[in-house]
Amino acid sequence: MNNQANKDRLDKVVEMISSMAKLDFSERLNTEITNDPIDIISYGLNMLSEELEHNVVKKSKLEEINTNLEKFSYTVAHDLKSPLNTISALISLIEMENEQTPNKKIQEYINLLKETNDRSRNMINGILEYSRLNFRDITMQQIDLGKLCSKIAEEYSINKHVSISIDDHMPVIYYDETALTQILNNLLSNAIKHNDKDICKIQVSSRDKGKHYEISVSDNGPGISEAQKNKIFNLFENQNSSRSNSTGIGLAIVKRIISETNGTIHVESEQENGSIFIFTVQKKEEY
Amino acid sequence: MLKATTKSETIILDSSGVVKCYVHKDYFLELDDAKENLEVVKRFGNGKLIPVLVDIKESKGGSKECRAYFASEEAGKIQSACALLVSSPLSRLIGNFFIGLNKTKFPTKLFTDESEAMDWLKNFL
Repeated sequence: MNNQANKDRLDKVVEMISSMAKLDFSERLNTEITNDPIDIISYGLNMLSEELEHNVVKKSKLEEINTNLEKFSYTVAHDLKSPLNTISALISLIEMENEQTPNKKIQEYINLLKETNDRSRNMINGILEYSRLNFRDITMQQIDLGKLCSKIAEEYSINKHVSISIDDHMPVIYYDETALTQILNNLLSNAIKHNDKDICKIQVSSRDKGKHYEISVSDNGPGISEAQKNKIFNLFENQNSSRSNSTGIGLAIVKRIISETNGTIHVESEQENGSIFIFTVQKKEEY
Repeated sequence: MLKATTKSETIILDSSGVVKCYVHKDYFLELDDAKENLEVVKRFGNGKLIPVLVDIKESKGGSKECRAYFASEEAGKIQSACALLVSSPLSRLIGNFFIGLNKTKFPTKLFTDESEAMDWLKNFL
């Protein structure tokens, strides 16, 4: 093959790479499958483009399904809220009637009904809150993590059974302040809610991991069993916890916020030895 | 010894206990080929997971669907491990696309030497 023909083929290869750089994976090079180096590169690019195109389509389909599911759950939750409120009002009426001629057994049933109805309403509110998380409104800005942690910790300082320590050298990070407040509030209130000691001790720390920071919230609580570790970030997983009045959405929301900002969260814990929730925050504006 | 010839491969099970598949010269594997070949391997395995050597030195590669099938759950129910035998830059590229982008449920490795590949596969008998 002459030089001009090879140059033309290489121009096509460059064109194809340019398309791929623009995330257009629909192009294919017209190539023979031979051991000629340009053919090998062209064939490789074709296969790569094919795989990436397939994955892009798969991802967008999954995103569409996800959006539809979220819309569906929001609608269902919204529609269920009204009859549950009506049931709640009716229970109150029955309770008032029962107060006229008190019947212990009926009051017992009323209390059970109230409990069940409240739990259902909590779940519905949880689904609504989870579905309402709107990441389009997120505003990334510089935040002094130390200052923000101190501000949040101050709100918990009224409780004499809670002691929150914050590392001296917390970094300045790039995040949405509302979202970060929500994350920290959830982790701190969980640590307090589930604690079984006279004094609930919480430590907030950070570690520089190169491209990102690791923020950790550790406590001296009862710890989390191995089986629970994988489940606690799921919606409603913790709802029936015997120790607390949990709605079971806090950690699901925390995980969702962190995932949306390209971070990860995990928990390290041994039963009876407390837990450490560790989440990552990108250093640069990579959200 | 068991031997079968499909549209795309010569498939042999000898006393080594490893199924050896030799892709025909200049053959481009499609999904139907992959299914036909795995069916033979399954028959040779007689209900047990079996290590497989696939010689793609002379092959012209495979379609995206064929590559995906190679990594499918179905394939994982037949093969305990798979060694791909390559030689030229082209066959190495094809091999990497087979084992790189689609994560298999069983161990896979590229080899340029058949005896080394066989030594590795014998760990999965």
